[in-house]
Order: sequence, then structure tokens, then C-alpha cells
Amino acid sequence: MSFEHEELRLGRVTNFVWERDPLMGNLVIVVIDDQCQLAMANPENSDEVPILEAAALSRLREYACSWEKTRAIGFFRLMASVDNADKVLELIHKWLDKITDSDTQVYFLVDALYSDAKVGVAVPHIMRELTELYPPRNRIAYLTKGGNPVLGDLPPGYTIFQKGSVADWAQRHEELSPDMMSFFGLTS
Amino acid sequence: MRQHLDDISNVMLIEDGEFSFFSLLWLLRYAVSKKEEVTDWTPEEVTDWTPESKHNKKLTVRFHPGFHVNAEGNLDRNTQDRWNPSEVDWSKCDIIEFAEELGLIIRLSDKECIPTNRWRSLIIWLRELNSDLNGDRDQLYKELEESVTDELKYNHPLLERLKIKKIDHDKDRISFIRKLSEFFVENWFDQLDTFSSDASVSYGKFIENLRHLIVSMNDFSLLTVESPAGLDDTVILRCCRGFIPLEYLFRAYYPCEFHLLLQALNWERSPFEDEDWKEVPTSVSGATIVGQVKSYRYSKDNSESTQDETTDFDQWIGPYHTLFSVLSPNISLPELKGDSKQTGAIEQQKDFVHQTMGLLDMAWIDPSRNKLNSQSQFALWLARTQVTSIWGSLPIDTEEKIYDKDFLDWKCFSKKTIIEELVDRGLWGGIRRAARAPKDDDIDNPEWDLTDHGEKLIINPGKAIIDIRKSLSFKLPETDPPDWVTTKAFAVCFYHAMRQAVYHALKTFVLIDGGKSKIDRYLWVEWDKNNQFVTIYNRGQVNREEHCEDFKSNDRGFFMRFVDKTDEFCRQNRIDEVFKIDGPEPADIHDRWQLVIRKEKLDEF
Repeated sequence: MSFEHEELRLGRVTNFVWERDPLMGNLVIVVIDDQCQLAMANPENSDEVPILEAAALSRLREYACSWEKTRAIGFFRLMASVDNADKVLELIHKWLDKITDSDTQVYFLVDALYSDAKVGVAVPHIMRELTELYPPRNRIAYLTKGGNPVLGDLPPGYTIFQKGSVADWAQRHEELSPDMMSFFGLTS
Repeated sequence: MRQHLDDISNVMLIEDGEFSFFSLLWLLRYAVSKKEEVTDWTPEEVTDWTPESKHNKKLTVRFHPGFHVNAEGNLDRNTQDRWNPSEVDWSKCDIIEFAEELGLIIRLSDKECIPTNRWRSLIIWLRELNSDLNGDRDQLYKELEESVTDELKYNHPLLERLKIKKIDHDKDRISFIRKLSEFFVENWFDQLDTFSSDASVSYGKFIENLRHLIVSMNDFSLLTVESPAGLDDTVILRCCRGFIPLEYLFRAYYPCEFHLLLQALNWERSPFEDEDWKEVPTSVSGATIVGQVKSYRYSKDNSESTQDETTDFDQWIGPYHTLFSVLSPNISLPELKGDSKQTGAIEQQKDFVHQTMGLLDMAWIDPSRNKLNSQSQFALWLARTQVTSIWGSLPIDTEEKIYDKDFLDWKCFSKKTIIEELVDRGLWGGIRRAARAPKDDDIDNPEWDLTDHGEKLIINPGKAIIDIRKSLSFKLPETDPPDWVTTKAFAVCFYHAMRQAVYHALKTFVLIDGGKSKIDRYLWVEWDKNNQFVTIYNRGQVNREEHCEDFKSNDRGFFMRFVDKTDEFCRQNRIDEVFKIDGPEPADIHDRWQLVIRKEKLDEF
């Protein structure tokens, strides 16, 4: 069983997905992040430990692809405007339509950017859309860069994972943290 | 805060030094005022203290930090921070749990804990204070109390010695800070040894010394709620904010330090140019910063602290730069005009600097700092220098070498090695900038190719520098650079110059030449043969015709500020050579841009 890597283009914006070949498992993870390409990092072969975001996203990809339950994982670009966020969501819908069935459980991790006024508008929109289209709510979480998350105007009530902690835990324990495993319905 | 109620609600607790210290005082103040026997919290015989010890008495003052307040103003348990896996309720804490929640200790085992860096920093300050105040403190306090003009109050030598940053000078407050400082120096100074190293201590020993603090505090009459002096919580909070340099005390204490951002504007009535008086925002109220410090790792397996050598401080400092870039230029007040706008921006810059400086200093002066990788150290140094010397009130000593006070281990480096280090830092800065999404967010913008290219590079930081040097055909001249390239001022300026040049050179390489080297070089540096200036050239695709005098960028703002600051320093210190910057601007050859950093004689000398 292996994962096939594919690039999904939206205009000149590149998104990255990995699908199990043949399609098996019922867990699909969708990450929406402003630096989604960093998931391509390979910490094992890197000359230096990569920067925090790269370490977090790549470890997430690496471990998710090692679970039998995982069917696919996709990293999509977080766009700043609501219009373009909608285009990315449409791309995600199409991809999910292709790879999911009634047994599939889809989990979303959305980068909670708080510093960019424009993204600050797009993220609440994305959260609302995802919550409406892909319930239950407890399968949608924020992914923050570091520090205690400050959600500002972002919708509250979602689980929050910090990239720093994800990377830190993975580096020390060579697995994802128990709370993240629990979020995905897995036990560590 | 609704302090008139028994149960405090609607509290937003900010994880910041001043607020942490305030919390400690507040808790003790209310405990004492409510006739709480605080000494019972720490029984006298505690050498056998364990988590299950019969001595443990729970704190009874109701105070509930650790929860966030949601949009409706209610305590929101869903967003409880992840460092406190259990519900935090101080009314259910014993003294050790309380100390842990305040970040005063890290538990090692059932018997031992490590007093955190907060203690160490407090001790450094106390020792300085004890030394500085020795002998003439009565006279100094008297002078301060009798000061009449604001100028005298704010420049009084005592404030400098106490490292007081800001305080309202009425007698009650001065009396309060005097009592507080004397309390620390006289009542607690002998108790410092327990906290003066990274070594672990038994809970018993820790409690013994904490008890001394608490017992002394119990007699501290000004702290009682209904004290004759009439100090309310607000006054005490303000005194805490202006008193001890608490950033040193309450900052880095966990492997992951966290800070919340409170963005609230202070409003004042100000005149508009052609309108009536209006309420205008003049400062950020209580702003503190989102960030994460990962420099300290305390291993729970052994009592020694270890450093994460691969920690990338850039990650931590990133949010500061982001916030600062938002705050500093216009502060998002386009509707304001003239002086009001300027005042607001300056005030907010000052507050930002105030909130940030100690945090950066704390990390910089930590002995483990030099174990960070070079990029991280430089990022930290740069942030500290910019916050204090560029945007803050400290001067930039144009003569000071970068290794005089800061990078001491660079002293053995040759000029060329130092400039190579600075080049690498500038290259990395340019790469990080290139990895950002295009500003217009257009999915068809060709600049996404640059974003992709930048992201591919930053995946592997070490290789990125080598790759980009090769792609842009960059190498330094063989000839010797001017001596002044080793100055701190040049370093900070050169980094910014390089960063923007790298970004534009890389943009040309990726977007115009498709990522293939089609010309001999995209980025290069030249030294003037008379050592008067350094020129950084880059290929740039910015349309020359569109370039005009009022071409604006954040880079330009930085360079203008830099020149002003160095000029100010040179004039004040009668130094006859100042830094000047020309550009970035088109050079005389097509597609070539240049930025010149020069040393120039001041006319009046």
C-alpha cells in the first residue's frame, strides 16, 4: 500500500494531495494553510531541522500516511479573499467527491491566521462553510502558528492545535500528540 | 474587573509579567483582607512535603485564571490553553500547584521542582537594586516625592535605579513602590540562594522560602483592600506595571511561553485640522504579544536544563515583525489627519516597544542563547536592535562593533567572515520574503511561482542559502571591505538592504528568467576603493518608468528611520561621520537596481 502524490492546480496556485493506492481506509485529512507546500519537507533528509511550520505540516503528512486508517491527506492553500477561499473550497469539494464515500470521515485543520486583515475575513468564512457542509463540528480544528492562540474575530468553539507543539511533540516522541490522535479518532 | 463581587467574573487575565505579578499581589491582598490565614497555606514543617501531604491546605480565595473569555463575555472552557490540561481553579490549588500555575516552578518529581527563570531574573534585579540603593535611598525617595515638574519626575535618578518605566507620581504610589522595593530588598534578599541556580530543590525548601515571602506580605498593610491609603486594585496594578522590570521576571519559564494579544485602543479627544474635536485612538492599551519561546527545555528525566540547538527564533519573532509592520507605518488610522494621526502612531510604537523590549532582552541575555543556531541568534539580535534602537528610544552607536557587546564570539572573525555571515542572514530574509503569497491574492498572478520557489527553498534552510547563492551567482568581492562593515549599525542596515535586493533578484530569476540563470549575475556587492561606501546591486523587474520620487515601501521607511537615528547619535556624540543611504533606486544600466550605504562627513565638524 502506498500513497500517490498529486498536485492540484487552481490558476497558478498549487495544492498537494496524497491518496492511498488503491483507495482504502476511511480517514481523510484536509489541511488549509497559507504555506501548504511546506508539507513537502522531509525532516529525515533535511540538512537542518526545518522551520516550525514545515516540521509541523510534514510530520502530520508523514504520520498520517503511516496509519492504516488513512485514505488521503490534502494540503490546500489558504487564500486571503473570500472569493478565492471559495474557489479553494470548491477544489476541495471536488477532490473529496472523488475520494470519499459514505463511510469516510473527513477532518479539517484550518490555519488560524490572525495577523492578516484579509485572511482574517476569509478564515471565518471557511469555518462557517466547512461546518455547514461537513458536520460534525468536532472534526474541524484550527491550526495556529505558535503561542497561545488568539482567535480574535474567528469563530470560537473549535479545537486548536499549535504547529509548534505538533512539531515539538513529533520530534520528541516520533508520533503525533495524544490530543491530535484523539481528534482524528485514533489512540496513540 | 468586578472586584466588588465576591466571585470575580468578566476577567480577562493577560499572561504578561505585570499581570502575573499583580495576580500574586492581588491574591495575597484579598486573602489578607478576608482574614485568610495565608500562613496556613505553608505550614512551618514542610521538609516532607509531597503532593499527597497532609500539610497541603487549599487556597480559598476565589480566582479563576486559565480560562479565556468568549465573545459573549463568559468564561470559555473550550479554548482553555493546552498547557493546563486540567481545569485551573486556584481555589482548589495548594501552594505548590499555585506556584506551578504562576510559572514559578516546574515539577520534576514527587519530591523536587526547578525554580524557573523568573526567580533567576528577579534575583539579578534584586541584587542590582540592593547595590544601587545602598546608602542614599531615603534621600532619593524624599527627592522624588518632592519633585514638582513632570520633567524632574520622569528623569529622576531613582527611577533609573529602580528601573521604573512609568508611574504616576502621587505620594501614595511613591510610598507604595518604596514599601514594595524595601520589602523585597530587606525582607527577602537573604532568601535568594534557593532560586539562584537552575538546580532542582525539594518542595520543602521551596515552600520554606516562599513562606517567608508570604508571611512578610501578610504584614504589608498597604496591600489590604481597605487600607487607609485607599489604594485600589487599579492603583496596585499600575504600580506593578511601572515597578519591577517584570519582563525579566515573568517571561520565559515554560518550554513554550505564551502570550496573549490584547488589542484595545485608548481614545482621547483631539482636534482635527478642519473639524471639531473628536475621539481618536492614541495608544494600544495593555498590548502584549502573541509568541512562543522555545529556547528552554527542561528535561523531566534529569534535573539539568538542555537547550534546543535547532530552535528557530525566527519562528517566534515572526509574529512580532508582523504586528509591528501593521502597527508602525500608519496604524490603520487613515481617517485621522495631521498631528493626531502622528501622535497615535508614535504612542502605539512606544507601547509596542515597551511590551516587546523586555521579552527580547530576556531571551538575548540568557546564557543558553549562544547555543541557538546562528540564524536564530541573528533574528533575535535583529529584533532586539530594531525594537530598541530603530523604533525605540535607544541610540545606535555608529562606532560600536557588532562583537563589542553583542556577538562576542564574532570577535575572532575576520571582516570577510562577518560580512559573509551578514550576507547569509540577508539571503535568508529575502527567501522568507519571497515565500509570502502575492499581495493581491489573485490566483492567476505569476508571483505564485515566486511563492512556490521561496517555499521550496525554506523547506531546507541550510541548503537554501547555498542554492540561492548559486542561482543568483552571488559572491563577495575579493577585495577587502571597509572597516566599518563590522559595526552594529552597518549590520542592521546591510541586512535590510540585502533582504530587499535578494527578494527582487530572486523575483527576476524566477519570474523573468523562469528559474534558469540567463544572465551572469542577479545580485552582487561592491566596495568603494576608498572605503567610503558599499553598493548592493540587484537585477530588478520593477518598471523604471513607474518609479518616482514618492516611491514608498516599508524598506524605505526603515532606511529613513535608520539614517535619522544614526545622525542623531553622531550629532549628540560629536562623531564626524554618519551613515547615509541612497536607494533602492534604478542604476544607470537597464534592469539594474542599487542601494548605496555610505559613510559621510558631517559638515559642521
